[in-house]
Amino acid sequence: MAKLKLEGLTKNFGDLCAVNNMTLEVADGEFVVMLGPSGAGKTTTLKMIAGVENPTSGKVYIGDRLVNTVEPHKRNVAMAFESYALYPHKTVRENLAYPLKSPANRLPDAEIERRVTSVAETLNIQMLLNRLPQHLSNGQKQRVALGRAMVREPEVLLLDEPISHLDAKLRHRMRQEFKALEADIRYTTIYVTHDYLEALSLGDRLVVLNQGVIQQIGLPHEVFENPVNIFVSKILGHPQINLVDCTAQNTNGVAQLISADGTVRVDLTDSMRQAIEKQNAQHYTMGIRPMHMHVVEAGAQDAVQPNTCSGVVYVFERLGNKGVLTATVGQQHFDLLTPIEMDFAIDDAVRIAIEADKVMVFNSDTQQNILFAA
Amino acid sequence: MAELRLEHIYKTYKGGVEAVKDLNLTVKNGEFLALLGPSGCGKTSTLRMIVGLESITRGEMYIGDRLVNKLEPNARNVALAFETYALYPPLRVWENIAFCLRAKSIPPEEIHRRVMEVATMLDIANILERKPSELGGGEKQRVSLARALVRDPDVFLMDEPLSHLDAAQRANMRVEFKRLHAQTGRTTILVTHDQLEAVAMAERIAVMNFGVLQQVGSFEEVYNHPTNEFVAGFIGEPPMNFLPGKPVSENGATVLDAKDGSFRIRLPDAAGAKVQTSKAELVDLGIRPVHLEVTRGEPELGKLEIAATVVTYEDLGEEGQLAAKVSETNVLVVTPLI
Amino acid sequence: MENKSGSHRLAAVLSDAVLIAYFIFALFPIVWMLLISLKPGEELFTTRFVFHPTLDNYQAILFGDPRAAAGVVAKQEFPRYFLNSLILATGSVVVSLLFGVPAAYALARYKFKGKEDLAFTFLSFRFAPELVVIIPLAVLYRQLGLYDTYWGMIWVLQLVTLPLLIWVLRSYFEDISPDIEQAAMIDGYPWWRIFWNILLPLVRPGLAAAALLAFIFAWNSFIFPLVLGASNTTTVTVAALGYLSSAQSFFNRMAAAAVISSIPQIVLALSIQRYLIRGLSFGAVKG
Repeated sequence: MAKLKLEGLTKNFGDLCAVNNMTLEVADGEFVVMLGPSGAGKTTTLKMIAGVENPTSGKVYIGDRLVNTVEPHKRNVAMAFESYALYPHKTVRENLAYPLKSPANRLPDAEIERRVTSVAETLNIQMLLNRLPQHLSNGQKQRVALGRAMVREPEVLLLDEPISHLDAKLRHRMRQEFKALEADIRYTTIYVTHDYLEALSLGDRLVVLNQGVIQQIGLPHEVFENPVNIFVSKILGHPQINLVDCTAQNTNGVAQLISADGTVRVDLTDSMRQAIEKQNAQHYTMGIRPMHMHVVEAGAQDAVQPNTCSGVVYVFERLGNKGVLTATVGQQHFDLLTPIEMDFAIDDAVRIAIEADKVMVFNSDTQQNILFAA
Repeated sequence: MAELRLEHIYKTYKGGVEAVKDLNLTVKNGEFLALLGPSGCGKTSTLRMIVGLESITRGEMYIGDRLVNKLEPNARNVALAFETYALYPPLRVWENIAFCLRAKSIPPEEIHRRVMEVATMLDIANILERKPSELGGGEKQRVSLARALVRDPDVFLMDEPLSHLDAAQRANMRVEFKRLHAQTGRTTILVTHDQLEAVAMAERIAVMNFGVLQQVGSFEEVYNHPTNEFVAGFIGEPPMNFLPGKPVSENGATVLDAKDGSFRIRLPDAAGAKVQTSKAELVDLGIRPVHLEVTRGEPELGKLEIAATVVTYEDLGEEGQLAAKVSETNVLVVTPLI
Repeated sequence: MENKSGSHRLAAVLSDAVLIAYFIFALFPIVWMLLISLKPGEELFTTRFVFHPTLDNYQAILFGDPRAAAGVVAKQEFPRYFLNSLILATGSVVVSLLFGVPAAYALARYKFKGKEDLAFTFLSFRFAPELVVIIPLAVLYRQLGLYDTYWGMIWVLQLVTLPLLIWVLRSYFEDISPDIEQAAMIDGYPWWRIFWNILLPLVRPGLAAAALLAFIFAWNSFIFPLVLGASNTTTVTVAALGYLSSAQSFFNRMAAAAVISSIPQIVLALSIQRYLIRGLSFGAVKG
């Protein structure tokens, strides 16, 4: 085990900048999740740490050792590939044992046997040891790939989308198994994913990546609640956060954010008002999470109720254990989370309340969260 | 548009594999029904029999009042959107959509009108000149739907229509489908293995397993009143928890006893009475993760309590998920965030 | 439904009949060759089919013909020609493997300027009829002292074997995900062991199929050995021609020679059949 440090790491493929000036420190034994859409540079980063891609510039340290010029087989890094990359002509047992038979990590046969058996038990694949990869399901392949990375007891463990190709039910189960497994994994680990649920659930720390640039580093729930910019707010949460173009105005002495079409008005809290005064921008983008909008009974005094708006049902869906109501309000569509037992008919009128103190405000030009507290 | 009626339908393959057994199902005129089940449950065989790609071993199938058992696929007026889209690669989108109309010698103006109509409805009017190879996954899906819909079929079937799309496209298409169905009111059957999709889109859900129809009903019926443990466990995500126990009669009430004594639950009277009359030796207590709560203090009045050990806790932004162990059984709890 | 299955059955019978007809058509020359090789000279040109099998022809080829006529190939030399063919075909394949496998790998994996041009150049060796280049080659070979030497022949046969190996193996290497190599690097192996332990076993079917085809092409090659070789390097293909002369045509002996010279190919093909079927169908589609 060792700490890991990336300093100004950059990778260009021709004109394309896959990873741009990335600086990141991972503490000894820490479990970091790297979240980003495809093409964000996650896999390239892992491959540079493993040494199978050469950085265009920047440095990689494992422990206190600069490893830029160290060949992959001398780095003591293990990696589970998104494509599994199992050796097709070797059985599961041989796949698992292969790293331990290498010149770099050669162990006595008895020890290899012990480790392979132990990791196979941990991952519950002991009954598959004599099979070839082509006879495994995706879930099983994924476990073998994971096992091959874990069997080494490496200094740094790199996991590239280890459960993203499984179907929803299996992914849910594997995520929880992984969470339970985490207690046993004491290696310095980087886990790459595009699934925000894995990101929120698994990491000690979360790194959000977009177009090769780190957007935000923090504790998972902090990043969820306090995203640094619009991109980060969008990548976490399902349905996606509702974003509304708006301006800040004073109406009858009340400071409000008002949507471009005037249909949505949200009263500003004190902290928002101060932040907006400081920014003094023309346009803002309001971000409201679906969990912070609620359907309320329509009443006689609707017009004067603050922080509400009216719309019509575009569609209502039940997803998993909750309902998602998509409503048309003026020019925009809003997604709202509701209990799963509710029901709405298409084109019904609804009244929506917004939790004003949970609203996020972004500067439309810079895309930054103006309420962001570092 | 028409009603589809399956009466005692059987499908037996060579070698005696019974894919579908005594299927009785009516899809009402204009209804959106999901045929849901795990792989190998017989839903694809059913779909293929409806479309006419597979012969019916026994039973009768009606579209409207027509008995269609012996009709060739093209005579049934049924449209199918394939899982893999099955677009014709050398033809442009426009020609793909118009293909089946041209086969029927419909006048060109009429073809043009109908193609434009579905293309506008599915928002693909701007890509009509492209070839399938130039389209994204979502666009291909729309074109394949347009091709199926342009025929104005009596029954419209979709085979796993979303399985090759990414998450965002899938969410988008689900919404669009639902709107589309509300607008056209066409008799529609969605075949899927994904309960999330079935629940999200369909008005009624038919759950199949091992070739046998388990239950047909609205979401409310299959979610709150499942006929058996399979349906209960299949519908809903995260899936329902099951706790095995032995019913014991105690002072007129029914108490569920874990084998190893890890819990004792007094069942509500109504449920208790039913357990008594069933005379079951062992029963499974089923409870959805959203209907469990975590308490640390004294039990609240009227609530059932089980002691459990925490395995993991996940903070997932909009909710928390707690996995716990009750003796040997894993139990999942969905908790609101504090 | 009855009609349908009836027409299905008819179609099945018809397609079987066509296949059997083709089978007979394709196999006929081989059977005919075998028959001729077992016939005595008198029965070669009869109008009715007469057949009294004899092993005389084989004996004559292998151990010499007591009744040899002038102008016919010297007797006991056929075994030496056979050996020549074996040396040349095997040598060509070995040399091609030595250079072709790394070349195919490089063409599959690395990006470099002119890659496709280079790959195409290799392939283009197969386009030109051998006769077009044979005269200048013959002149060159004489000047370089390669004429009628094993090395010279092996070198020129690379024109036949190398392009085949490179193009078949390239598609095999392209099919192996780079992730697998990278995984092995991270697992602690230097590149040459990865090549040996992981990559080679994975391309083995392609390797077997391509090597066999290359062997057959080299073995059957006729123009090069005819023009660039002489008494030292005479191969079976050239030698078989020797049974036909203006004086007398020993079609039966030529057939016997052909039968014997096809034995190595058949033995090889059978021994690696397992790889061959997969390799040929797969590589053919991919390549």
